[in-house]
Amino acid sequence: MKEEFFLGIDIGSVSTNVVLIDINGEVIESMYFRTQGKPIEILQKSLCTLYEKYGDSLKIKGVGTTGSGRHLASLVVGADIVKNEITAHAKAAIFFVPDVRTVIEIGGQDSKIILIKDKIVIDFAMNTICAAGTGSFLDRQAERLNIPIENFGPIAINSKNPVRIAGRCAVFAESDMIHKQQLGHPCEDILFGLCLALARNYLTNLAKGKKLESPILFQGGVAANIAMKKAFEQLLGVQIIVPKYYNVMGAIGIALLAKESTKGLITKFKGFENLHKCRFETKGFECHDCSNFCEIVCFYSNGNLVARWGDKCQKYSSNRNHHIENSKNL
Amino acid sequence: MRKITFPHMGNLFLIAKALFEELGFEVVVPPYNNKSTLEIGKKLSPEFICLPFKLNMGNFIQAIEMGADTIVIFGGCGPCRFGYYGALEKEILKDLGYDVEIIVIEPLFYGFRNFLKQVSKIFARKNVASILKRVYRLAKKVDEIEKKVHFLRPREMVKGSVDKIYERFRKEALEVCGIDQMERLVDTTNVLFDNLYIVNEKVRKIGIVGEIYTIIDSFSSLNIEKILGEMGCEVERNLYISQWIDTHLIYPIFKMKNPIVKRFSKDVMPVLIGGHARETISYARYFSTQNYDGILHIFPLTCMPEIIAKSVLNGIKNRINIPLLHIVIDEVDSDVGIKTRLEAFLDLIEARSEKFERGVLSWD
Repeated sequence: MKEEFFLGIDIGSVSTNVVLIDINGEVIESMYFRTQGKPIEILQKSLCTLYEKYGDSLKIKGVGTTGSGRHLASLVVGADIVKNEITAHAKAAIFFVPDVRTVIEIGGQDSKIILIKDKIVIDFAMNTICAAGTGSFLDRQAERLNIPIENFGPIAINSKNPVRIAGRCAVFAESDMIHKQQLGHPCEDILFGLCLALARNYLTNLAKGKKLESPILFQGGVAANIAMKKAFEQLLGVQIIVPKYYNVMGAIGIALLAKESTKGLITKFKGFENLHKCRFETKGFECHDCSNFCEIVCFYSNGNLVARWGDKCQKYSSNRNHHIENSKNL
Repeated sequence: MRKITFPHMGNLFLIAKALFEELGFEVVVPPYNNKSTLEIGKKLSPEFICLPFKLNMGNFIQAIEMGADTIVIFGGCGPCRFGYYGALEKEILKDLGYDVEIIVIEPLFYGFRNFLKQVSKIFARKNVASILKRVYRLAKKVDEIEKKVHFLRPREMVKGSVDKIYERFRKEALEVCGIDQMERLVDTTNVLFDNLYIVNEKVRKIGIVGEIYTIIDSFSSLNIEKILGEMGCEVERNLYISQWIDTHLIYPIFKMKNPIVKRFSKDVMPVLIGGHARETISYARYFSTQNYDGILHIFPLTCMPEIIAKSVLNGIKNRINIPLLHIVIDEVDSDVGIKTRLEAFLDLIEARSEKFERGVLSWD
């Protein structure tokens, strides 16, 4: 194992994914953890697992972070590139299916649609304020029905006669669904009805006015659900591809971007050795110096202030780099 | 003596403060829009009303606590709910037991007598014409400052220096009194800006269109302009306060229309549907002809005119042929989601311009 490797980290609301790719973009290792609201701990744990498995032979030449916790993660590991999840997902999709035209991505809190032409993103949309059409909604409903989320798809796919469920808002959908249950509809019909409602909601809210052209990729954690794939196929009338690494596409994308951005130069990665010894901490306070009342977030590593952000006037965040350079314990 | 207050809307407070002080009133400027403003407003407002209403309510309550007894707001007829806000806010405040007077100034062309009646309450025994002229000039100057901020932010040598000057300007504006002093403050700020070092970096130009309140007021738009500035984009928006005065107070007197709106809305939205839907559409099209890299469309949740504008813009997408991102805003506190979208949007623009340089001219 003397080759060069690139690390991609995607910290989302529900899952934390870490992938290792080699110089050709081949996925060597992919790991999927539940974030459980503790992004730093989980990130440390996952990197330690990686280190235990490969030991010192692992030469990391570049690291990238993405997802809603990307800035935090970049401070923890020392990332070469910090990018948004839309670009990362598009990158991975294009890498695996070069002629892809549409990417449907449904994660825990976000759902996105990305339109691609000639290998570049031409349009995208992301759910606005509401998260009714996302993975956590399915998760919650499965929990309510006392069905493990892994069994959701296999059960739902048996449905012959799906019930119609209002999908516009999670609150309406839930009460509508309960009503249908009380009428005695079988479980699989209700589950597939939910899938259809979610797919309809996605297509009316995000894909409105956009032409979805094949090949269509379906990725994100929800793509594990074969009933969701079937629902989209039914509504769109075309075949949908679920890539092999559907649930870690963001991490793969950012690893590919890290590979591009470092160009074989030196990486900012802090190394595995120090990582599990470090103790990271986040504290917040409200600044009352003016009437903006900004909430300032302070990030500490081993008790040293590493970064601060959240202020509008840059009183705190402007000396961020100064602190990073001066903290020896990183 | 009346203690006058008014809702916040971006830099409106600078102009309104100077005007009322010149007219001889005491002015209470509510604190800048902040979380507690929104918190108060949320509690008192109907649930599905748009964000500007909630912030207005918060401003009023905070100003009343600071001693204000008269509230001046602009009204307006038309399908947008804004015209009704004055009446609604009056009722809510009355129910809460506050003893304040709300003066709603309706635009001139909805009834001259009513306009005079309302206006006479605040404009009395002064040389109104000359004051209004000076206030108009001040409004133009304040907007020049804002445009300068937008221009300088992506180009500043020392990061954060523009915002430092700008914040100080806004802070000091609360302490000065009258039009003359305000104008002097604007001039000194201008000198500070002119002496900034700038670097010539590659700057992207983004046009911002949308609902007036959310694009002018930086708190409600979660500082989108600043975020974009830091990402290296120069922003230009379709509405400034002086421009609003032009469109709604000056043009109607001369029976004129904004030439850009006239030219670009004729074929897709020939009639007024309320709010600023027509401005949104026509300026989006105007920006697309003017060497801009992308357009942001910002509006509060449940804003009817802007939803229609959004659909119309989507319908004529192939005609404007420029990246367009819609951002809906409500009581969201964290800007992470906004940053993600803006970042992806800029990535898209970057990829697109590379493509253009390689010689492909159109998408679809």
